[in-house]
Amino acid sequence: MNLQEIKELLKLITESNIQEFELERAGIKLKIKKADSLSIQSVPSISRLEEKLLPETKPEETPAEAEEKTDNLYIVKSPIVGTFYRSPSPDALPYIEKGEEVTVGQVLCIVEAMKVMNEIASEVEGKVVKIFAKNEQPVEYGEELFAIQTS
Amino acid sequence: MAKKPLKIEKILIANRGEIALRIIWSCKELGIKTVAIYSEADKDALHVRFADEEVCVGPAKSSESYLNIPNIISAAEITGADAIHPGYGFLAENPDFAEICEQCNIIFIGPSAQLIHQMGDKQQARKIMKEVGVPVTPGSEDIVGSLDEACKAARNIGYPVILKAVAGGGGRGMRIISLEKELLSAFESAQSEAKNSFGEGSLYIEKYLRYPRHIEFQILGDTEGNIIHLGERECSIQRRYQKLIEESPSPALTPRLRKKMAEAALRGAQAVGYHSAGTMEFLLDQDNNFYFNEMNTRIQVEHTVTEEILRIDLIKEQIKIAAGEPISFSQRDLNFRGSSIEARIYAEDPETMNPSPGVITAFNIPKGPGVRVDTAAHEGCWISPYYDPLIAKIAVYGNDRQEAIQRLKRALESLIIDGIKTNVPLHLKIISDPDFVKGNLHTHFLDRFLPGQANRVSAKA
Repeated sequence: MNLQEIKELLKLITESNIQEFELERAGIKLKIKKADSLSIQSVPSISRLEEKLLPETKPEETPAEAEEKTDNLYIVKSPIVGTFYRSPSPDALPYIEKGEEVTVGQVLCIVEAMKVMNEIASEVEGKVVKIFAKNEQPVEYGEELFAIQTS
Repeated sequence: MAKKPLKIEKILIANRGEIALRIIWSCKELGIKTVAIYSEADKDALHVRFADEEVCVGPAKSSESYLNIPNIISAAEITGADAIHPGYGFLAENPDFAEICEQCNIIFIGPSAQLIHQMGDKQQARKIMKEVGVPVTPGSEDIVGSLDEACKAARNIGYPVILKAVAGGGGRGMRIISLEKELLSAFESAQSEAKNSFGEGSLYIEKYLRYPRHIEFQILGDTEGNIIHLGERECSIQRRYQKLIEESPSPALTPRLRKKMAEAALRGAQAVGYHSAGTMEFLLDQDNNFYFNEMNTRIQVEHTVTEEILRIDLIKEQIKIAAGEPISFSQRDLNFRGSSIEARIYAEDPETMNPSPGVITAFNIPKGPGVRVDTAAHEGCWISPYYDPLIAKIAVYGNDRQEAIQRLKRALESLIIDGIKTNVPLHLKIISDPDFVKGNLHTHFLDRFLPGQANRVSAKA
């Protein structure tokens, strides 16, 4: 799928009533979600950037975070460069607090990159024992975000 | 004298190694803050150490770090960088990256995405050059669909010819043909090789130059429409398209030929409205006919020799041009003097020519008059297998070519790199060669220095 085809596809979706769209083909995964607060015009550029998020060799949406087990302590590291947010929006409650139990797939935080809010989900089940990053802190690839005590 | 500050205050360098350092040096001299990006394999690298800020953008693998566009753009955003310098290689000639920078309001230090795209298409570039009277290698206008068409085209051009794949590269789908009777089998096998390698079997034909010399002209253009040339570089000493030794000026060019080629280079650059730094590549045949080969829309590894003979800073000029300022000098301000020769030092096994990664245990760079070293290596540093194994560039300046050769010889002899294998012995062999000293160069010069072609010791002796 080349850039021109993607542009045409985005145009079609933008002009339709489709709210969510997902497409997976060899080497590419496209996921488009129309947000109510965003103007229709900005969706194509966000979606195009989201498509570029994926290196050609990996079909998964987010690269796996590195595992570090010391006494069943799993360190959640940022898989991308961006800005760390504890909550889904400025006035909402944080996704998780220290001491809370989390399950696999539970959203822990957001790392925003180029206006795209990337939800970082837990790969393990356990208790959040440490939160390393501060709200609105810029984070780099591999930056430590949380420590989860797994049993 | 109060100088108006550049509108660029912070530059993110989307590269690593010696060129990242090179860009940092010019930024420091201009009072511009720097942001280094690095992969996990480069966390102790010098470019990270000397930048004002640093952001890790991924694991060792290039595709996940130095080619990771979202992480790089995001790094520029979180550090508030105004501009990105892509260096050479990696994303330097990626038109999508240049476009994304534009869309994210980040200044891309280089030409526009459109220019990168245009010159990246070799066939289109040739067409444009032809239209403005820049000589191009005689070739078929379009693809040769049949053996018959190929025959006709070859007769027109004149043997020897080379069959090339339209979709191709890397030597695949290429056949050199000296006589018409070779054309039949060559045509069919080239077609199927191209089809298998690139999914598309279309071929075109070009004149094959037997012993061409690689002569390139450095171009600078600003946003006010000024386009100047900064002389030529000869890069004929190369192996599998990897340059080893570059020099300026070329020993092959008379003042008359230089004037002709420079005019052609300028004509080509003007035709596309080029801005920023770029290089027009030509091939020069044994009869002193020159042909446009391609245009590189980035700063090049060998920009150093041009800087040496002109005493200018091309990176600073790129930054100024990107900030909307004019080039610091005009065509007639340029004073070409002396001779500069550069040797690229690679971490390489001299027998097999394979990369030789490892830790440098002892490192001494040559010093003294007329020696310039561009490197990010140091004692204790790790030359990793993940990236291009270029360790250092040793460039010398001499009042003439003979002095430059002598200087390069003593510089290479005092270069110490222990712990890994390098191509320094090969360089010393080349520059001592009588043909090199005489300036009799061409792109197949290295063939007889390659392993397997050296003199064999007889079993009896």
